[in-house]
Amino acid sequence: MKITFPHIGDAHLIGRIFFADIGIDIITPHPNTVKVLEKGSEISPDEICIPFKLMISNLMEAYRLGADTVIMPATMGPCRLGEYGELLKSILDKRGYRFRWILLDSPTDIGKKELRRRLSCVISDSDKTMPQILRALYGTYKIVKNLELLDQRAHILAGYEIQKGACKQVLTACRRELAEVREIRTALRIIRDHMNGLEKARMDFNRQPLHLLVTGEIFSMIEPFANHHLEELLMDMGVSFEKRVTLGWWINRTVINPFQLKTLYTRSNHYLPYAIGGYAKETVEEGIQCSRKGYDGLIQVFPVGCMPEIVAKAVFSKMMKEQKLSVLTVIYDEMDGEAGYITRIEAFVDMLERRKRAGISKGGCSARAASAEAAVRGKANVLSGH
Amino acid sequence: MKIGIPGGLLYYRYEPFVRTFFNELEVDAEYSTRSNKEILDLGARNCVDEACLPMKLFHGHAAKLQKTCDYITVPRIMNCEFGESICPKFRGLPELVGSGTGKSNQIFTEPIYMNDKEKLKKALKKGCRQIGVSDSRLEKAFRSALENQSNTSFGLNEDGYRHRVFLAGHPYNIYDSFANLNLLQKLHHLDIGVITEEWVNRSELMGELTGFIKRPYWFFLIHNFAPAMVLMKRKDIDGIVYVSSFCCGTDSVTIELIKNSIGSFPFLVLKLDEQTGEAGYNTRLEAFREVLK
Repeated sequence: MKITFPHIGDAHLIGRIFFADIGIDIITPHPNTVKVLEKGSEISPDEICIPFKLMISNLMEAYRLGADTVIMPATMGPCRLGEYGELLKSILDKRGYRFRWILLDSPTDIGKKELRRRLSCVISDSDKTMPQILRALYGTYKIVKNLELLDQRAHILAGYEIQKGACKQVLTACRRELAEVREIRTALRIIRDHMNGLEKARMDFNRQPLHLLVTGEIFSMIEPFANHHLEELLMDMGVSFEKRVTLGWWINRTVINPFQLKTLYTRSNHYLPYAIGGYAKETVEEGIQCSRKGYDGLIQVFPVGCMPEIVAKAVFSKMMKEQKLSVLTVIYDEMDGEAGYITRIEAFVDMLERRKRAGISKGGCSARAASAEAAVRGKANVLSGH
Repeated sequence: MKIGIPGGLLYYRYEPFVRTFFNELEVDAEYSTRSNKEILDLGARNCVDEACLPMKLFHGHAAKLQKTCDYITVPRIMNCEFGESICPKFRGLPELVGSGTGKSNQIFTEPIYMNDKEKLKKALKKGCRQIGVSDSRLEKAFRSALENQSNTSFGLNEDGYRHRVFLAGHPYNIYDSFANLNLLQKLHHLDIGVITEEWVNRSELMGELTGFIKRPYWFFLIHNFAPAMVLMKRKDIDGIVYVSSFCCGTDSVTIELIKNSIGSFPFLVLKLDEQTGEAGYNTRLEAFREVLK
């Protein structure tokens, strides 16, 4: 049995280490590129969202490389992700790609027993014992978390770096080294080393860069190709930003704490009080946080036609009128011309910078600058914000 | 106090319920007219740009009623009779309308779970208290509204035409003759009669859904895919016409699934958007008639 799954951010990078540790080889398709997207669009329905087009292309590639089993996460929400498995199977079957499908649904829909059966299918080829697998799982979770801490710290420090591109270099170097690793312990060590490297980089903490929040549809947030490498662009621009919607965030929400016990009473969200599917409610919550905690602005990202995020966009337009909140909504489609996106983001950043400078010269913006600086100086802040 | 009831989206399916309910409550209710150009323009101006045509029409109905009414009913339908969900936009409808029209006088915005009668009544009760209607009157209105809804038969099953097609799609696209540019009349003109999904019973529907690797959860996926299969196998129809709105999320999946399962059976997909030019539309229908021959 050769397992594969579609690309979503670092899932393959980290998943490969986990499966290697328990003695299973997985098939990793090529990273997403414009070519990959084109191949996917050829056989997908026109109006389906972009994640689907990328995923189907990844799976075709994996089939050619010898994969025969697909693991797909699924939901029963009204968002399209839940029907991806069905549609992928329907299209791929017609074209002769005969996969075995393991859909990881939430236990409330298929029952705990069924979920356990499907999970045991995934690891049936492993020769390790259950405690060893659980230990590997925990180690993998630590990799996810630590890599995200590194990302988060680099994103914030990007606004303060003296040598341009220092933070970005650390992230790329770290990922390059992780791609070679086959053991969890080595992976953790590499991340730690790079964390130390990042701390040693020279910074100018007297600067007052913009502090943005990036949020939106989860696939576009996690997969760099789906947001046209927005993070790298922002880092190049010398903007300090945060991104909370990540792989670890998703794991926390759906696997570790599926009922949201802690956050249930701490967050009030009168702009969008009900879960409408996808993560629209969470996106709106990010917007509320953004206006409360003194970020300079918010960038919302989603693929064209995403149903839940359209609602979130409408809510943002209301929030922009009622609260001091600046939102740029960037909707990505299949066009690979990036100039338009870059111009819009640059214009947004430029506008916010002018506003911030005007505020500082009047002496009014000290609270915002202080909060941004606190986020930079205190590492504890980064940890608690996670 | 006047309450406005927009005649868009699932109003086309639950009209008997809504009418009886508000009649029995004895409140001053105003119903919007059928969709027209004015409503579409109002909707397109007030709605978030990325939304689909039915959403824009609903915004138009709501915005028009807001001029004369104190409250607008905007239901938040979470799922349908058997627990199927519709589309995230239905769940966020009050927010969409609220941010689009810039007013917050929406009522009956409690989440509606139609698979649970008690929950449904509870949700309606909260709305009634907002407008000062007593619980006992609600009880009576609710009962007769439910009765009226279940006693009304829906759907079209036309005989006497040369061809017969399955008219698939969402009820607000099928029955809104402004949105679909008089589709029914045009089909009749081409000597084509239609049958709709209401003429396939539930056990037959469920029989068609067994081949999936996962239980489908969208109302409109179940109620378009399965009837298409049933009617095709029964040889009741000569073709399928799917009337869908541009950028519809659920239809992008449904249409592909139907396409992959019917082989070379005649299948026409019509996409509706804000344009009202009919020439291209007519040509496609005429071409489809040729295919049916």
